[in-house]
Amino acid sequence: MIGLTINTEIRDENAMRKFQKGDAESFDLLLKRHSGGVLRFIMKMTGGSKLHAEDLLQEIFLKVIERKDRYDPEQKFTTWLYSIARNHCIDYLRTESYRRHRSLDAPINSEEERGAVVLEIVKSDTRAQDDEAYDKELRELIDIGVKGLKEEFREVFLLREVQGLSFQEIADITESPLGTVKSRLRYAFQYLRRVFSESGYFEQKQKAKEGV
Amino acid sequence: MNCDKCSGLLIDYLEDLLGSEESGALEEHMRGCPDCSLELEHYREIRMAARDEDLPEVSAEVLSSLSDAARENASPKKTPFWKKWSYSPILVPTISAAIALSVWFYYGQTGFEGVDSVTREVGAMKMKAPGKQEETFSDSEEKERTLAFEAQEPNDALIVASDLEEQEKPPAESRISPAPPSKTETAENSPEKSMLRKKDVTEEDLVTYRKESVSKGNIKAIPESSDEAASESLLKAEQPILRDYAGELELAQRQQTEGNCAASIQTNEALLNSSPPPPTEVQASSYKSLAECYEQTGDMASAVVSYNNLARVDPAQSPFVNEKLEEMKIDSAYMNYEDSDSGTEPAN
Repeated sequence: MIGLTINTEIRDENAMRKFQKGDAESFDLLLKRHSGGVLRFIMKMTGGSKLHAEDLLQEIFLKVIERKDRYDPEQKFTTWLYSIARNHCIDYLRTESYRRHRSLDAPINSEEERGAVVLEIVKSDTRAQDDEAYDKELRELIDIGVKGLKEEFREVFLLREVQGLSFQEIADITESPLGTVKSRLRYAFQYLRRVFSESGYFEQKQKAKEGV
Repeated sequence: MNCDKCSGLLIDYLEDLLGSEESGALEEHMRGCPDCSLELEHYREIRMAARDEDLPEVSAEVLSSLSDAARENASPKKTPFWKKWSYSPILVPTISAAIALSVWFYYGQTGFEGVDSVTREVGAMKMKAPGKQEETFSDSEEKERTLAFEAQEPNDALIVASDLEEQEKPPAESRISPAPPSKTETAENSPEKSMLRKKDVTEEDLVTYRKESVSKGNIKAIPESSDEAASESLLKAEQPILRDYAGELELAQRQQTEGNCAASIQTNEALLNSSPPPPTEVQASSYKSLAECYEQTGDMASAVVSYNNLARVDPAQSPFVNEKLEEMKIDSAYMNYEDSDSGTEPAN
């Protein structure tokens, strides 16, 4: 990890090329840049704990190490990296029966869980004064909503809105047409809006605005 | 633009995927539609909430272990020496040669030994029974040992083998219908065996004993014609008829050399009268020896007959026979081979 500050401007693809030639420090650079993002993706994709997500993270980056010679430097590194991460998560979900059987049109489940969060938000009259607590509750609501998405919608929403990848990259990672990616993202937003609306979040926020 | 169409384009608008024309139309609709404007506001809020997610911190242990794994993978792999050597042009021929040598040392030597022992056994059997092709031996170890032991004395070993076979097997007459020749044969063999077991019995004595047996007509090799069926069955049962023609011929020739013409004549007669008849070569030699003995004893008539028989069994000897007859100043009448075939005695 020494000298990472010097190498920060090296592009991912160049760093990966160096790692292919045996430069382990380049791998450290890539690990530093992307481990947090991949861990977040894993946590939101699998809905598991951080500890468990770290195990998966380790497995994913070990695959990166083992398959380094298969990487084509012409390909964007994040596309390759998130392809491995996404496939690993999907395999994990299928293997461990973590797969959620919730669809966009299905009635929203886990009412108790969502209701409890919403209740916390609603009853918190002091949230305007406590932005930190408000943000925490909002993230919890997002997590609940993302968990409720089916995998194909969830992965597109996470890769686009959380990881900030381009539509084309997402299409490459998910091996789906560009139009499909866009429509999946649209459905994901609509679903989350329903979750937020049913939780009373928007209503409470509107009241808060009017109150202010 | 209506609300449905506007709602369907809001995410694309949010993601900046629309063209300027569509974006303008959408913005114009939203200015007069608070619901669509609110929906867009909700999406923006969700989007902001999602993008504000903090990056989780990866534990140092995980990072460290991954970094180590990368270093281990990136370092040049140390190939084990045996992997390097296994493909080398030195090790492969060396191992192959070692294996080949091992095989040669083990199988090669034992194989030669095996061949030698077999060859010796076969040789011993051939020496014991010249001219016999159907001779059989039991496979018992005891007999093999006997054969090997007696291999240095072919004539004796032949008879000992036959005796041993008779000892191990039930007597021949017990397996076939009782026949007089069998009984006599068994009776004859017993004293012969007892003779053989005495180490001081010479080969000459044995042949003489056999000759006497033949003259008495009770030797096992010559079944009586009176009972042909019994003889045939006996021949089948006693397939190996053990007769040492070469030995007897040698004996006769030795007797001739020693000047014992009478004994030589007797031995030759016995040999020539044996059944089945001896090989042609033996017959020729025997006739020659017989003729010379008769010539020495002065029995010229018998000598002429024997010479004629020699010429008959071995036409290659005809010039020699003619020369001998010329020497003996015998009339041309004696040179009629047909007469000799019919067994007529030439007159002086």
